[in-house]
Amino acid sequence: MLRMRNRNDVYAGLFLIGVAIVFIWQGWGLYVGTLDEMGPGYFPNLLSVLQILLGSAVFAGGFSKAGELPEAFRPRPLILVLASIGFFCLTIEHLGLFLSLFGVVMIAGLAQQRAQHVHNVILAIALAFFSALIFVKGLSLQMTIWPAGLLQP
Amino acid sequence: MTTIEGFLNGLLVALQWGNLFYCFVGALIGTLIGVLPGIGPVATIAMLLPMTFYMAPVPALIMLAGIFYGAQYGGSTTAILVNLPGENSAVVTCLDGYQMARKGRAGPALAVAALGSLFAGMFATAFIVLLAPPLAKFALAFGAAEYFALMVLGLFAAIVLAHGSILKALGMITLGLLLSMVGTDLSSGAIRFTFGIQELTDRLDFVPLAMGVFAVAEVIRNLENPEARQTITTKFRDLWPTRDDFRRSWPAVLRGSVLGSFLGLLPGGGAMLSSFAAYSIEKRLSKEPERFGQGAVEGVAAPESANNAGAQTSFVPLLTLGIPGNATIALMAGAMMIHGVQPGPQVMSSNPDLFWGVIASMILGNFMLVVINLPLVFIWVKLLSVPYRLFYPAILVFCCIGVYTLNYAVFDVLMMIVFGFMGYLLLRWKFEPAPLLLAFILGPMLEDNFRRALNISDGDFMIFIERPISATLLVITVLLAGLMVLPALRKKRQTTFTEEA
Repeated sequence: MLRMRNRNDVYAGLFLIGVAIVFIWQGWGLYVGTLDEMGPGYFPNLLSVLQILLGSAVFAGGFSKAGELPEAFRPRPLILVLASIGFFCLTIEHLGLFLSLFGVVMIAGLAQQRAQHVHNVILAIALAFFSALIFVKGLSLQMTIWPAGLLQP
Repeated sequence: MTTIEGFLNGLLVALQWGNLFYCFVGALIGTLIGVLPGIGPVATIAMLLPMTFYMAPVPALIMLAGIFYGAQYGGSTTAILVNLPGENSAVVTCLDGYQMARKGRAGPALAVAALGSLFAGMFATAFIVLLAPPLAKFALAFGAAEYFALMVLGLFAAIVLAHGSILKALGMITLGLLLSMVGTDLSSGAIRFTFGIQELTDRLDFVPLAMGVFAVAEVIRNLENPEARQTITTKFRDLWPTRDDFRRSWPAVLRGSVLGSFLGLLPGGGAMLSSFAAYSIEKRLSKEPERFGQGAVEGVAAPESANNAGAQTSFVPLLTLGIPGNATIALMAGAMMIHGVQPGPQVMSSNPDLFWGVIASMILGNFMLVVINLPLVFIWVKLLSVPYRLFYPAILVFCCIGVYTLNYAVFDVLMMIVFGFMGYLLLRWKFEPAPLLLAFILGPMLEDNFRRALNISDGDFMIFIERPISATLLVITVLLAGLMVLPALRKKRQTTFTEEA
């Protein structure tokens, strides 16, 4: 019975193989051409095949060589950090820079193990304020500070 | 003597009040982010890129260059005082620098690092002045086969130092190359790998990828493993090195500068490779190798000079061949193109002010950096006591603004989330993401030159071997690859740097 001796490598190998398969699948209809007249499909297919070979070797190595134990998975920072950037995407063109960044910092602040809410509110206000000052007032990047319609006629 | 004239002219450009100011700003920002672990020059320059739209090209590039080599100075401060590399290229400085600090000799370690870097900076600038013009001429003899061979060499050079599995490092290269294929194919106009998403036909943008993998993923990882930051217990008795320190350091500084200058020329080389190579060579050459890892001053002097020299000469492939050799330089190429300057051998003749101005500014910048770093080191040390919880939300905020304002496109920020997630997985599975970025940068040029070379030769691979320059480059690549798989060297590689783990 095969045992995974290095979980990281098993997953890493599968990841490489998986991505290469997606590229082969997506590039299926592309014209490949010949060595002297390569089409848009030639080089990517070559790379994908290479990556599948590499991935397989890494995958197989995960069963033969022992490695570091995988670290415990803590979903909280991953989800909240990505969510904070997602909040920026959703709001930047509607709520303006100040409120959007305030939300980003508040959500990101929850990602730490012991979130300190009062500190976070102060930090969020400070960062949003200074960003608006520096980027919009100072460097005149094209962003609104407040929601459209508010404070503006 | 057009070279000297060009350089003097460049010095005048760099000495203009505005340029001097931006050189200082760059050096200051560079030191700041160099000192702070968890944020590097790639993320910083990516964040500042949109602002340079509004600047003239010369001051913009002077500032960005200052950030890049300034980060090498700042990175050593953190490495010496808290045993944390502020930058990747300062990883080896931790080995002996921190040991010196523990023995109460933090001051001399900092001084040797800064003065060594200063010397290396001057040396590298002279090296560029003397070498760039002939290289630019030489570059005109480069055909598709040579470009391809050089880039392959660069990609291999980038993984020489990859930690752990070489197979995984190679996987990062193929992954980076594949990602760079997304979008419109340059030569046929065919649209590839877009999943039907309109925004992707324009090719994936480099900045969201860099920020996702290097800034966002890094923040997540740091929050996952909150490590107690070591506080600085070292006292500074005095900053000035002893006569013995000087005697031991200067040959190391010299060797580091020469080595760094050459390795910086290689695409994929640059600061990190230089510092590792310089440290191993110094240890090998030393009559008392057992002192290394115990606070040997040469172990600080050599890598610190090498990384600064390598950082500076890594501009040369961009300015002479149009090949960006690492991620930071690729952003610089982006900044040049924003201002309508196409990087390549013609920059020297078509934009002499830019070419020589940026090079000359490096000398001034290096002097500023010594002043910024040595007497003011106490201020930077204070920065290290700022807790991470105040610091990471600022990184995220700047990432969002930086990526969004590139094209004012929410899509770019969404891509940063995707790549942040991917980067997190890669770090978790012990991939090293730096080669991925280099491969992504070189991908389109690599494919294009591969196709053209084989088109010229009617599909005959001999073209890569028959042409002398290309053959030489490929032979070096094969030697390098051979060295990597040799079990003896693999073991050596691990033992040389085990102390860092």
